[in-house]
Amino acid sequence: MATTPRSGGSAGGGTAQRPNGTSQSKSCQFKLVLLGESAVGKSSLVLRFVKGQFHEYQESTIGAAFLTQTICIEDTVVKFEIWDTAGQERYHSLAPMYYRGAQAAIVVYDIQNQDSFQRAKTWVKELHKQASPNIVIALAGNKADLSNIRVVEYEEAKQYAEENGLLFMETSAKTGMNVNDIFMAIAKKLPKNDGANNQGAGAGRRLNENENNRQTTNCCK
Amino acid sequence: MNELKAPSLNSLLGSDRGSTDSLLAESLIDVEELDDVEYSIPPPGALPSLEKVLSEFEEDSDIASELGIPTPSIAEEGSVRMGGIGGGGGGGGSIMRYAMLQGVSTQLTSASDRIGAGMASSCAVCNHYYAVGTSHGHILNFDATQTLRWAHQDKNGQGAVSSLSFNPECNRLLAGFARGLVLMLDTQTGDIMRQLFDVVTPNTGILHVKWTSRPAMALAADSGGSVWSLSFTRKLGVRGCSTRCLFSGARGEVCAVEPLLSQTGEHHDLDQYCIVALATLSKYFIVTIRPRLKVIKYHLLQGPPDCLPVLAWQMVLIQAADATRSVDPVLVVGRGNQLFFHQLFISHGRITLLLLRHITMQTNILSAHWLGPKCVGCIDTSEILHLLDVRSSKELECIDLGNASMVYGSAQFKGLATGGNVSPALALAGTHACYNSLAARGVQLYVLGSRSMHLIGVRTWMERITYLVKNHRWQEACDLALDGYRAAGDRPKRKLQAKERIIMLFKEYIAASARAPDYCLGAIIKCLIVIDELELLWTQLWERLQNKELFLHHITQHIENDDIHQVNPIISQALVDYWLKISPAKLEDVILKMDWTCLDLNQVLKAARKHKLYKAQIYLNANALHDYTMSLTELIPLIGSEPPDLGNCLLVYISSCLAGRGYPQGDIPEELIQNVKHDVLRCLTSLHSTTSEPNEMPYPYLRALLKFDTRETLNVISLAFQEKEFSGELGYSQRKRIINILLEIMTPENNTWSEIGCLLNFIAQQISESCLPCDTQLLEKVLNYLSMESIENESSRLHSERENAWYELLVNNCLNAISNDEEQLQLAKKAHCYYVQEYLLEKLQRYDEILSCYISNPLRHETMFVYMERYARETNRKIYQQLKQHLRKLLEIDGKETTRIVDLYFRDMLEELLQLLEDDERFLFIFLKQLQQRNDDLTAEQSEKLIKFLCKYEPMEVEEFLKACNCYRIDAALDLVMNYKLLPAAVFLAEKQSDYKLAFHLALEILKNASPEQMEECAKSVSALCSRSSLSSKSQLTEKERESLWFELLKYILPLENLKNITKSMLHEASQHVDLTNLVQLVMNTHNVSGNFGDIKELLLSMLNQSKAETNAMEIAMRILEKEVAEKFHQRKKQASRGLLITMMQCVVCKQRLYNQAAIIIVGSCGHAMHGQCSIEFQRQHHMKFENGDYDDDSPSTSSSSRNISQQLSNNLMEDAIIMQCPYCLCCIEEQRMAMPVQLAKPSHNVVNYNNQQLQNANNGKYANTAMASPYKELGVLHLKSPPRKF
Repeated sequence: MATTPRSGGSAGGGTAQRPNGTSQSKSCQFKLVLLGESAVGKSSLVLRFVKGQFHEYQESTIGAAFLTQTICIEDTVVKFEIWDTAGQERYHSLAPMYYRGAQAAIVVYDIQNQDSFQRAKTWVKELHKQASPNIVIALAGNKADLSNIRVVEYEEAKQYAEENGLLFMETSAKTGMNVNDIFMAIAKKLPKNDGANNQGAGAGRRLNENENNRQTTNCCK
Repeated sequence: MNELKAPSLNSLLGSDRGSTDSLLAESLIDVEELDDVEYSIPPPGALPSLEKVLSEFEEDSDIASELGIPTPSIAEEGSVRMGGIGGGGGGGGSIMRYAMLQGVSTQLTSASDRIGAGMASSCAVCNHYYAVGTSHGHILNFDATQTLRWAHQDKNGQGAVSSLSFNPECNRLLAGFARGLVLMLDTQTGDIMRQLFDVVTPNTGILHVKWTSRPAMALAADSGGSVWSLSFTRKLGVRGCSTRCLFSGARGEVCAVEPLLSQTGEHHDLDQYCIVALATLSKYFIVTIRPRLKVIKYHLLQGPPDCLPVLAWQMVLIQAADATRSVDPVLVVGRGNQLFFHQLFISHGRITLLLLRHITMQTNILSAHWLGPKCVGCIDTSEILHLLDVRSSKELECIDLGNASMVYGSAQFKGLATGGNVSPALALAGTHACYNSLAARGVQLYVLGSRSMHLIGVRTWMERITYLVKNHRWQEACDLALDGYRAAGDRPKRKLQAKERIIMLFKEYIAASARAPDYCLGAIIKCLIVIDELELLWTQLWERLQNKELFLHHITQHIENDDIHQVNPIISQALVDYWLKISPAKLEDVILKMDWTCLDLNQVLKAARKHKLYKAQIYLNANALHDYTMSLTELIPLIGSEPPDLGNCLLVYISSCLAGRGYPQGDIPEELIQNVKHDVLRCLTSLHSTTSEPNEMPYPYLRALLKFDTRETLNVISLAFQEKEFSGELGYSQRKRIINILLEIMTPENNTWSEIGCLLNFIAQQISESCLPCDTQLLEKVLNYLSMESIENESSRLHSERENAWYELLVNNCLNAISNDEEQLQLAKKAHCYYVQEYLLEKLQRYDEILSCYISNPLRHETMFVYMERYARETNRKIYQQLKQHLRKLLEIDGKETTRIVDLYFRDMLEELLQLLEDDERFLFIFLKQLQQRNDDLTAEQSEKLIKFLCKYEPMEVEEFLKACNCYRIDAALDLVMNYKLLPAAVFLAEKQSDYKLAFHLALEILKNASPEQMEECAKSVSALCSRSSLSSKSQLTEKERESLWFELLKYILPLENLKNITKSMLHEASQHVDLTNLVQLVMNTHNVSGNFGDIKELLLSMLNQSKAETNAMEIAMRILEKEVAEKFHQRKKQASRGLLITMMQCVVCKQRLYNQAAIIIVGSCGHAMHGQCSIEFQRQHHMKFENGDYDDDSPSTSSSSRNISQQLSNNLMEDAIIMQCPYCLCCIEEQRMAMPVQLAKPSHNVVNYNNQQLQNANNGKYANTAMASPYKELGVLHLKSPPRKF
């Protein structure tokens, strides 16, 4: 793997007739995992982010679902590989498999459900303990459109987030409130020059960027 | 480093001129761009070496050899391609590269055009220079950039430059001329260093000049076939040369000279020697010149007379059979179409030559040059260069050099410049000499054309890939790359290099295939998978593809082949979607092969549910979700409504769960096994389902499974019972619980008896294995079932299972508690459980009924005979009584075995048994027949009885039997057979009785009654009978009677239309036995034939022919006889007239001298003699020996057989076979010589006196007249050529 940028450079002997040779932006790829109790709206959140859709009666996820979405931040193309895990208790044993290699995690709770907030806290704890130390964690209080019957106060959650160094937003998959924002916030916080992920469209781009690109370190995943 | 080179390599090869233009032109431009002043162009000696400039593209391979890049044997690279014929670099092959040296060629052309240098005649190449000699004695020297450095013109009228050679340091050039001059030139300046006019045989031209491994020594070969060593000296600043003849052409002309030069910088043991390979037209030699001249080895070298031998050395890495490696020089010797490879090495202090390989080419070759250590390039007589891989002996590629207009050195070999004083053999062989117009350096071969110079290079692995890529031959490039990668084996450095090259190939592919990314996708995917660069596959390639289906197909294939298990989730999603659309069944296979971690479980599991992919569902539930019961609770209720696959799947799944194995393969993680087993069992035996519908029967899961397939479910449970969870106290109670549940589920109301039977068998089995705590109630239940008198629809399998279960219980004494054997026996009888009955009887020692149990149980029939045989001699077993009782049944079951036992053990009772069967013919028949087949010793009555039965029941067998058997009375049998009208058998019997007449009549009757199809066959058999009757000595038929038989037959046959085609053979057959006139008469009289002359024509002709042949034979015999008599006579006459001489003046019998005037006998042509008296004694002894009979018939005269013949022929001329032998030399003595003593002359006389009685014939000279003396006397004449010295 360490060889890819190098050899990519030597292939530059080829041509400049690449279709996407015009793209000037960098590209990164991140693995993101959604955690949280069942029925807090993880799948809805992702669905809103990826497809802009919302289903009132979203089927419960089995095991985990996989989705991807690409967003642009400044000059960087960020590609999210999202693992939307199932919230049901019986799938908990699966979660480590997914958050182990993830660069980012969104822990979701339902603002109408105190238990789900507590569950979210345990997830955060588990992530701190088990996941990679650089993982960017965001806390999302979902179903913010129903804030009139909220149980978990904004401040309480905000404070908890600050204490634990988490990004925090209250979101609503139904209205789309803060959904893109929280993903953007995560994308911004993630280190962009993390080498292992800047592949993809990169090969075409680097043709024009020539040498200095070779110095990028090749950190293995 | 590598990649820095790559672009320049690309641009070098990628330029439009790359294929036709010289690479040098490119580098030349570079040089021109340099500013002379700024860079102060280095002096010529410090020029970039030819190596460097010319083969810049070789950098890859150079680095490769440093780093040990995979340079697999080219044949192993799997792309052996023919082609490239056409001389251009753009041809099909990727291995050989063609280029024309433009600079050199231009200069050559202009030299020949402007200054009259003539055509090119020879060339040489070294690291810094090229030199070309011309036919008018010019030498042009070019540097690495193909710039002409200097030109030399010969002023001595020495003719063409016939050979050129650079020394290894490249500072001296030797040039040989057609009229014998050898020049040494300085390569930098062109100055003449030495001018050697008379170093070779006078009036001969130079064929070769070669430098040796010694710096001051060179070799020259002249057209006279001699080889000279030239030692260059410099005494007191004066350059000189001493020359010495190494090999004189008088002993065979040397055509090829090839010194071994150490090519690598590395030290080799052989460096201390100066070694040369020489080849003549019949042999080749390996010779050391220094330290002393010595022939190491020579071999014969055969080949067509117009082919020259070729030689080439190369240092090669050789891996011996014992895995030792060494770098040794390898010599290739070729002539005609043969190539031999020899390794030269030092072993135990001696230089040894070892034959490594022998290759036979399709065509005759003109040259052989090493192109790198793995390949040899051979040019054949049609100027096609063949590239051979040495290791595999395969031809890799060939290229046509026809356009190069190659130069041949035939003028030198014919000695045209020196008046043609060469041997005709050399002149003929030299027709295609091209020693001096080809030069190999490294992996390149330089070919000199008359006005041009060409270069053929062998590409390395890397270059070939680059070449293929450039030509967009992706498939080949990928195959080649992969072969190289695989060839790298487990050498990590090489592997890494190869991997980088493949990644580069991929990038090139991506760059080049932007418009048509699907092209050769499979090869690229395979490459990436093999080198394990999957990330590139998922991202760069995937994103680029418009049509992803092909990609998915390829990936699927690789998953199915177990090449990969893990794919990117994006791909796996696409894969699942794709296969869901095309074929969900295939999707299931793919999922089962994939690692679940890369799957979108949500998507896959939902799809699996929807499309009923049960296996995938079970697999993912268990492995991904670690939920081993979910599959059961979800799927078992569906068993009834789904195809049986599901049920079977579930049974397999349950069984593997209970055994701790994973589904579909692998194992359940150690730490989970306990839980899984427990969970699965609990789920199966749960009283209610998870949904717990209102009117659900208890134990729904187990019930469903049992309903699906009772037997298999029970099998699964019994397998599970073997696990350690079910052993021990707790395990047994666990078992009991399950069995109780099973009993509860399986009730006669809900299940058929056969299903319950399965269960009870299962329980009985468990009990008998004492794996269940004893429980009287349970036992009674089981026994009730086991002893049921009849069960509806009971299959034989079930019944035997029932019996087995019962038997097991009995054997293990499990039923003692509730019943005794007697009761059991009664029950078994009622239930027709014969096996159980048999066991019980045996146990109770009530042997007299056992046999009937066996008989009633068809499964035990075979065992029954074993049983009978085993106990036949034990009276208390009452075998005989039982046998007698059941004899008929036994015979019915197996007549052969029964008879065997009777015959072996109850032979005395045979009569009784036969009596017993008297009233039942069928059994009697079987019995008799078997007895007969066994022993063939029936009494006459018995066999007649048997014949009678045979006639009755198996009339077809009768004849066979009669032929095979001898123990019947023929007349009785004949009567029987006649009774049953079995005519063929009767014919046989009649003939056996020698009653041919009867036989004939019977046979004729058969013939008359035969159907038209059989008629021919019958007729043939009748005629065979007739001829037998005629030949047989036993037949009492008179000549007349025989003829009447024949005539009767013929009379019947001839008129028949449908026997026409055998009539002829019939007549022919008859003609041997009957009078021919009568036969002709008959034929003529038969009205049917009379109209048809054709049939008898043959007959008549054959008669005529026969008579003619006999006459002929007679004549020939007479002639031979006469001739032999004449020959014999002639021989005798010659013998008789031959003079005899004595060579040994000693009697061979008494060893005394012969000259004492006594009569002597000369024994014959051997020249020995004996005294007359001695001969009498000798004869007497001889006769005695002969009468005693130890006279061997190995006499040298004639073999006994030939003598017999000749005796018959000429009784008079041949005496009896008492052959005497000379006692001294075993030469045979003719009888009549003994009768003719001669007398020796007086010692003083040279000439013999004749015997008195022959004096009358003295006038006739030395000859004796044999014809006139009737008692056959011969004159022995002694003729002494010179008197014995003693006289």
